[in-house]
Amino acid sequence: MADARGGFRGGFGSGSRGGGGPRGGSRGRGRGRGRGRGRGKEAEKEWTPVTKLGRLVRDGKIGSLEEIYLFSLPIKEFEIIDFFIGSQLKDEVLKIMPVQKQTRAGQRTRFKAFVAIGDSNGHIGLGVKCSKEVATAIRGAIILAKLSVVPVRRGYWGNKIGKPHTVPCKVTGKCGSVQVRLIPAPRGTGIVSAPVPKKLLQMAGIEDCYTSARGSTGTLGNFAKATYAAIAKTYAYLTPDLWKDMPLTKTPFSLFGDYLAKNHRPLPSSGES
Amino acid sequence: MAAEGAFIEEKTDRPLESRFFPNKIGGPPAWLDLKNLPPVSEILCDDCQSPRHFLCQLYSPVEEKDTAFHRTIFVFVCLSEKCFQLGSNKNFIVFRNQLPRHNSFYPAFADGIDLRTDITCSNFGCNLCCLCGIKEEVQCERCKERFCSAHHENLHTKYCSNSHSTVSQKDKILLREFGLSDPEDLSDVDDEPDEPTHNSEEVAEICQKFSQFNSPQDDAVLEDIFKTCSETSHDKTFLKFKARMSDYPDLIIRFSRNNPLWSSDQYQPTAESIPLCEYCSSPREFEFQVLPQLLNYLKLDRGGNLQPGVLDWGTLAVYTCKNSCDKGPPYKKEFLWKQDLL
Repeated sequence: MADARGGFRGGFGSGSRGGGGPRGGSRGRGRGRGRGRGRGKEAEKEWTPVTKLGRLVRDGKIGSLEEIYLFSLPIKEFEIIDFFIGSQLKDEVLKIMPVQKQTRAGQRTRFKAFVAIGDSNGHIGLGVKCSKEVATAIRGAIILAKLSVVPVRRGYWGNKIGKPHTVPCKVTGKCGSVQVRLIPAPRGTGIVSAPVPKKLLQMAGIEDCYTSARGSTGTLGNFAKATYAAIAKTYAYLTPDLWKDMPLTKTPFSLFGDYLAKNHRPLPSSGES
Repeated sequence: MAAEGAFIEEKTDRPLESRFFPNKIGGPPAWLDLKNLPPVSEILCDDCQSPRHFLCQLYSPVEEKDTAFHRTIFVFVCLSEKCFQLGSNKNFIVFRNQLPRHNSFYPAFADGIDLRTDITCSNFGCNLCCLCGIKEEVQCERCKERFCSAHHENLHTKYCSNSHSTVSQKDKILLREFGLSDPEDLSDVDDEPDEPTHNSEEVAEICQKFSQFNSPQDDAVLEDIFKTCSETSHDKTFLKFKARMSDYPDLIIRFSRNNPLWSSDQYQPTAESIPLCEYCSSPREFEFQVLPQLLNYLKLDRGGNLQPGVLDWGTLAVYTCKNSCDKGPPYKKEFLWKQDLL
């Protein structure tokens, strides 16, 4: 093949590789390119970010996860979450559901994994993934859970002694005809709620909470959504301690010379010629 | 589909010079046709009128075409903050140049080409800007050094009598130089191995082992919560892209005709977005893409005149004339689609 090109190297898509004069031919790069999918390898692969936020995080230019939340920047790489709170995160498989598909050769079962991840300290994330193998489904769900981590604000019931342990104030979430109210509770109350939301509140770091529900709570789906809506509001609620004016800070991007000051929802666009 | 990739190389066997037909990143461009260089006006940024910086070049001959025995694609980019825009490719420009095997610059056989240090632009009568390596068009009056444009000449004038001036100014204009490996096959995505389907007992056992909640009521609540929470629907294209890229942290170029690997479901081009070849009017097709891993190596946020950290992309898809035509000037413009990641 080299002869066809008179000793000149081939390019891409040419099939004729190598050839061409004295080449050092350093094939053994010893860098472990991980060809053929390094899934089996448990070795810690160094993270090479593909997004700008990822690069800023890896270079240590962002102080905490909270800075990212402050500007509502979308987190696309789960390693970003790992970087800040990875060591405190605990993942729990809440359920594996079999999903069956009828094929000519019989039934084909895949596994749907529901994973919740939290650090019991104000962060909770949920992920669902379906896959042929249980381990793959769980792994995939953990990644998606990390991508969906949200901050949960906690407060006190009475005296501000010790760490925050309950919701900061009464928050209400509504879904359909169901209205769920999360009410601060004194220490030691525990979470007074249905099993699934109770688990999630615990993983988020809420130790005590009363819940009050109104409407047709028989529609448990709406109940769950209403609970979630209530939790999401904990950071949206303007409590007196937040009344003080804060100076606007620059986003991580503009701090580092990027003129993207805010991330908006992406616009569909056609390119320029 | 088969794809090939070029990986970054900090040290190369041979110098990254024209006669070796290198794939390279940064530094000055290693021109292919050494005499008929593109005019500076084409390399100037449309908006800010300063010369674009050389980003990378890829040697990609077309076997079926005699006149494209040697063929290189060059990519230039403007690094200015003001010229960067989401969803726009205006800060980039791409040139394609090709030569037949028998040409006035290179011998027809590669034997002994290493020693031919005489194969340079200046020996063919075309001088280069001493700062950035593109064609020269202006000259410093005092020291007679040559530059491509007033921009680079002005950078030099301050330090004109200083003998170190050229070197230090170059660092501010040229991107960090790297070589790229020869093409290597990128293994196709291994789909999960086809497991024999579990029988119903095994399935039940597995589900029992993992599930913390087993009543039908809890199931309904679970499904609903998760559905609500995943309302921020994930960009599946990006997730697949990232999964592949995590196997190749130093992969810079992915070559796969007509088969781009998009980094996101946003900012993808439609068929209408890709213009026809402006010289022969045949359609352009996707040839290769530059991956965002390159940005980790360029380290653009470290001082100098290179603007801090603005340059960003999800992937840069280069579309070239389907016929690799010979019409038009030797360095022909091609099309680049910048897909941004938000």
